Amino acid sequence: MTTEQLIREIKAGSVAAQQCFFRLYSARLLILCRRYVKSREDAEERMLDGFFKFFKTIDSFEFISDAALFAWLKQIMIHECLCQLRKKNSFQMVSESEAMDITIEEDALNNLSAAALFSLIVQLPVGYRTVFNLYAVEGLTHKEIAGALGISEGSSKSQLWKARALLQKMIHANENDHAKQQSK
Amino acid sequence: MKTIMQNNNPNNQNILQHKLDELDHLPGEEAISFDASWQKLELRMNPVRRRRRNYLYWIAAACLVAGFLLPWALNRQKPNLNEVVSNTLPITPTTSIKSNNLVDSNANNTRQAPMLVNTIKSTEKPPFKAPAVLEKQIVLIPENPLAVKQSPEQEIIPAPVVDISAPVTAIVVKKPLGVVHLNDLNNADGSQLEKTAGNENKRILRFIKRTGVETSLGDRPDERTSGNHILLKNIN
Repeated sequence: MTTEQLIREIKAGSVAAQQCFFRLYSARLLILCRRYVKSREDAEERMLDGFFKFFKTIDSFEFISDAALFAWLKQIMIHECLCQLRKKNSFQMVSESEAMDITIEEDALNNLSAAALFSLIVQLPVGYRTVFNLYAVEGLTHKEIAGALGISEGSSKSQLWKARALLQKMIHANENDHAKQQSK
Repeated sequence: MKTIMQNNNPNNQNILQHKLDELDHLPGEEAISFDASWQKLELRMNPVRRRRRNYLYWIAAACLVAGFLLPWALNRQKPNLNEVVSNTLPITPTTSIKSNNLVDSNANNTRQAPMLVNTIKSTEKPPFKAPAVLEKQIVLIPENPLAVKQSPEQEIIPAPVVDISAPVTAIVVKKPLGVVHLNDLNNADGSQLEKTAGNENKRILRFIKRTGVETSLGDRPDERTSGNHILLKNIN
């Protein structure tokens, strides 16, 4: 059964199709939620909230492609995660003077595996992590991030700068560890 | 959010995005439990089922309340209090007076000595009436428990007619005195009082002999002995 047929079945009210769809996407979307919400339990709750909203509003969804479907699912999940972070007031405000334009070494990130990259991002503080996820991974602008998180653009920039600086430190530390292990 | 996401920034790192999006499990971590998560999601998606359960709980609670209130409501629909009292409370034996000789009340002369009235106490008990509501075992306390209604089947006998037109005089005695009808002494004849074993009657007789106080139905002794008498009895 293709994804399009699955969506059609779900629209018709098939619970089995809903379950099948859930099995298909839940693992990836759980990891997506965990990039924003560190706790596994919270991430699972957000994922379930996202699926619940998806099934509720599926009548207004028109299937175009699998990529579009996954993008829509991602938007729903990210929105749920950001809602919870806003409720907890998790974002630390940083003065704009501290914000500096810094570029992380592209090769350093590209050479990392997905799991290693995930573990590094999860180690970031919540403010840095959220802005980095939204800017560097999802591709939003600072203006959009500021609107989504309820902070200023300068705060978004400073958070991103700090996140990148911290990631560079962590990557260098990891490289040094690897080098030591190899030398031993 | 959809429109926001479409406006990608110039520093969009598609490599990172693809890497992270394809990640479906983490090394060293347990995979997601689909069944448990699906059950949670199913609970959220079927609030109707939960509402139905709540509805059942409400019905059960309503049945309980109705079970408690039903006996109370039924008790309220019972007949009025007087009927219940007359049916439930045992009727005390009453004394009916049967007159053997009624006094001729048409006598014109008020000075004429009236006839003595002999009364007989009857202690016939009316047949016991079973309470109307035996199953419920309801005991209702009447507002005035002493006000017992006489059953309609009881024979109503007119009271003896006593001529009280003659003035009654009595001397003042220091001790409190009570009025006792002569009929209560079983006989109007003073000699029969001696037959009664009670000390009370003897005392009364002695009192009569000593003081000579009787009802002044007449001045003559024959009038005094033959008419209705009201004696003053020493209560103490």
